Amino acid sequence: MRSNTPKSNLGPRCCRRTKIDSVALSALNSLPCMTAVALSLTCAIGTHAFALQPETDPPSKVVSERQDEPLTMRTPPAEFNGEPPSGDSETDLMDFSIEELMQVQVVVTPSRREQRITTVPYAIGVITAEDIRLSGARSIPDALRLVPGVDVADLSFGNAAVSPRGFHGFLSNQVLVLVDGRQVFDSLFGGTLWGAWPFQLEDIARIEIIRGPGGVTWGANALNGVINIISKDPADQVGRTLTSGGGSRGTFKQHVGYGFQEGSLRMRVSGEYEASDGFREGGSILRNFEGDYKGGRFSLFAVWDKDEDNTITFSAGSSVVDGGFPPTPLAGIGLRRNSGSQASYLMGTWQHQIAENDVFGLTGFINDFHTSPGLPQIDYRYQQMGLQLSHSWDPSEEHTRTWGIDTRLDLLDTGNSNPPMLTKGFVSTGIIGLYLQDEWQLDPKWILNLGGRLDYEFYGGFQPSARASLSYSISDDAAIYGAVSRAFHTPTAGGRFLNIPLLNGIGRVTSNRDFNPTTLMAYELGYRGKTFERFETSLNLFWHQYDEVTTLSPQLGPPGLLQYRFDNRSGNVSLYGVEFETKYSVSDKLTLLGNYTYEQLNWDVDKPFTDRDYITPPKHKAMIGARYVANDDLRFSSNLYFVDAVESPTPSNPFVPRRIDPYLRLDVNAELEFWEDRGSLTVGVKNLLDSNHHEGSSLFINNAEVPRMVFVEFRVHLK
Amino acid sequence: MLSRQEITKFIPAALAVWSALMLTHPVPAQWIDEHKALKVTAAFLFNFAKFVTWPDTAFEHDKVPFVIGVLGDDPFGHILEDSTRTRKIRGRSIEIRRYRWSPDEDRQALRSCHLLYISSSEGFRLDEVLAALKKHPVLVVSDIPEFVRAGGMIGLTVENQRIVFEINRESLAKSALIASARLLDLARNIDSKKHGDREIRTTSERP
Repeated sequence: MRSNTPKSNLGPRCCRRTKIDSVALSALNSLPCMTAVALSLTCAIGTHAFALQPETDPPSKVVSERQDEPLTMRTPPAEFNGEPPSGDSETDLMDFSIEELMQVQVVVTPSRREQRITTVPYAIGVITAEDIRLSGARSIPDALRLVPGVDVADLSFGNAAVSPRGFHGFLSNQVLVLVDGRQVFDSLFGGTLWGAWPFQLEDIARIEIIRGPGGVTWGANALNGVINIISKDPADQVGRTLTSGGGSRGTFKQHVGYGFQEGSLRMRVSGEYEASDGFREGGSILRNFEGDYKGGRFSLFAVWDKDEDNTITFSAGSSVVDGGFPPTPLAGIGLRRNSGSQASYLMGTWQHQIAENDVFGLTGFINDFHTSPGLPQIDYRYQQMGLQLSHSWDPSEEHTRTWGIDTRLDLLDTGNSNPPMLTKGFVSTGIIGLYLQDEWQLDPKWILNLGGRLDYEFYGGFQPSARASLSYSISDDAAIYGAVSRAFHTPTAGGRFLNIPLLNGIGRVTSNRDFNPTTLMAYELGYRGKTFERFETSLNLFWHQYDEVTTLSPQLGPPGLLQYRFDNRSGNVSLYGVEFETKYSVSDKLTLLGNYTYEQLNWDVDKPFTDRDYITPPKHKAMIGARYVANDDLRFSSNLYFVDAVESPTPSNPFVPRRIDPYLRLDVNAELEFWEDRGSLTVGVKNLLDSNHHEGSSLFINNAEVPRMVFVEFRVHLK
Repeated sequence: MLSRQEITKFIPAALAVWSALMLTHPVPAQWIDEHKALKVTAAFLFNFAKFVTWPDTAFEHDKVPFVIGVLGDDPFGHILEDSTRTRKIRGRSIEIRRYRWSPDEDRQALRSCHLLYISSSEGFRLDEVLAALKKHPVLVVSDIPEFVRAGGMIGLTVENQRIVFEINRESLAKSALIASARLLDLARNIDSKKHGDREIRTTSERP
């Protein structure tokens, strides 16, 4: 590892500060104590719970509750000679509901449990549908706060800065976002506009997050990580679903879904409308804040089991948004029109089982996207067409091999922008990637993974990626791994031809047509374990070394008075840190969650980090959560987040970044089920501890403080 | 304002305390009440039948009984008969049948079951058994380890001293069986509560 160069050139401190309520301030100061007490308490409860287990006699003979009937050790079924049970106790159990049966204790012998902890050599987080519901998350970025190592900052109602392991911002493009394997990123800047695509939380089965490079498997842009949003199987959504809810800031959301199954075909269609007046506090002397949002979404997902060897899926969706992009002060005085976006997609996949453990997959998708964020000089539309082929099989019992070809064509049209935003009205590019991955089970405890990939992009040329990892199963319940990777980020074709006027022509965004991709060497160590069936823990250490970073740095001079130049910068850039996550099932009713992330950015470059429109990674970030099941119908959950101070761009003063103070955020939720679990009512408060706080900012949209928000949601599911 | 020094001093100490507790605490030894577990399992089978829907083709007419089969060494003894004697499933009487696997035998008798419990004695030929029943509307249940991952529909296991179950939705769907939302909600791994290999393969590996 290189020595730590402590220099961090983030520019002079901004004069504006944001106050934190006294309640939050005292809570902040007592956070270390609170966390220590919480951790100690949970450990004490856990150990005490086990101390309460009755002592048992030596294994030769154990006496049951009924003293006249000695129990035997678990014997092979063929030797069982159980007496016909008495009528009363048998009838009782047969009258039990499933929920009641799951509460009946049958004492377990740990050595006979076969539970294998996963040895997947990645820093993985999984957010389930239940996690999303219990956390009261109103959007995917909101839900991503539950996972360590993912930096999330709300910028306005429909926009968020999201990225694993730093480099998050409105235009962050170092994470690859997928929906059921389909890439979702912008052909102009390479990131994801979270409020513009038809994400419907009700239709999400889980979100899988890989922190760290996913370059070999997923190619370009999976530099800092991969976020894969996985839809529910239509079989889980059979029937009619209606949700309706609303809350503070004029927020209103209504969702309708219908799923059915007919033989080997199952399908779900759903639609959703969401609207809000947006966050309130924000704006500057150059421009008031206009953050209202109205979005309609539709999607369809179908699975057809053609025969036992072939499964075909088809999905489609569309989203239309009115508003959603608060116009930036940098746009200039008077120049504005209504902002909005339209996003649509089609996707089909075919999975063919050639033989046992021999699977072939083919995926094709089309994305179509159009947006204008309220400025006549920024108006673009793109289509992406992708075709991906993969094949995985076992050449031998201890060896699995996967290879594939990924292709994608991007067509970007900026002809509607006035004045033109690119030096070319129409830009097209394509990318082809070929990859090969091998996994060897060296012996029962060791697994070696090697992968290589080569991508070719029309403007950027060839780029290699590679990954090597080694996993070791410490036991059935614990595993460690180490990995080394090389990944890269492909600049978008649109990004090479920037020519966007700002401030009524006084300023302009330009780019170097031939700038190089940013590359990354990453080193990781990870541990994952489960103890006493109640404690799940993961710990990851990482070091990222970046090369050919880019910034969008302001400088005085032609064209115009002020130029934002998008180009590579030389220097030494690295990021290292620790990610820790734990889940403790205190009892059947109470579960505690926690995570902690430490990130240290070393930015030794002649231009500030915030010039890239990024927010600096918070050095410390933590979450403590609790879920309590009061009874079968009522449950509570709460999550307390702490995010350390960061620096972020200042749209009203491009040369001076602003400091965003540390904040504490408490979200609480209660869910009541009724009508034999067909209906539920959820009430929650987000950001309970203070009325508003900044989480980040961007040069390209106006900034708002995240307010306290109350919400209520009613949900019904009928089969 | 919270200082970085306070946080940086606290975190290593907390991790050290946690590590010491995790690595040094002994695990107590405990035993299964097998008779009770079998009664509970029988009750689970009865409840699974209530919350799964079979296609109409699985029953020739209204009078056809609901057949619960046991394949392999039968651990239940008289428990299944005694507990289902006076009960019905969806208005149908319940019939218990027992089977032994034979490589030459016609599988039709096995496929005539509506719910089949596969004994742990069949663990070594599980793939063969599941392949014979694939695409047929037979709800296969077992407590063989990794049953659901192997393609079985409902797997029973013991966790926190209680019996819990896992569901493989894909296997159910392939046999045109529909589990109710209530059953799916209660299954242990429906929402990937554990970081199982099967779910994570979606993102860390291609198909």
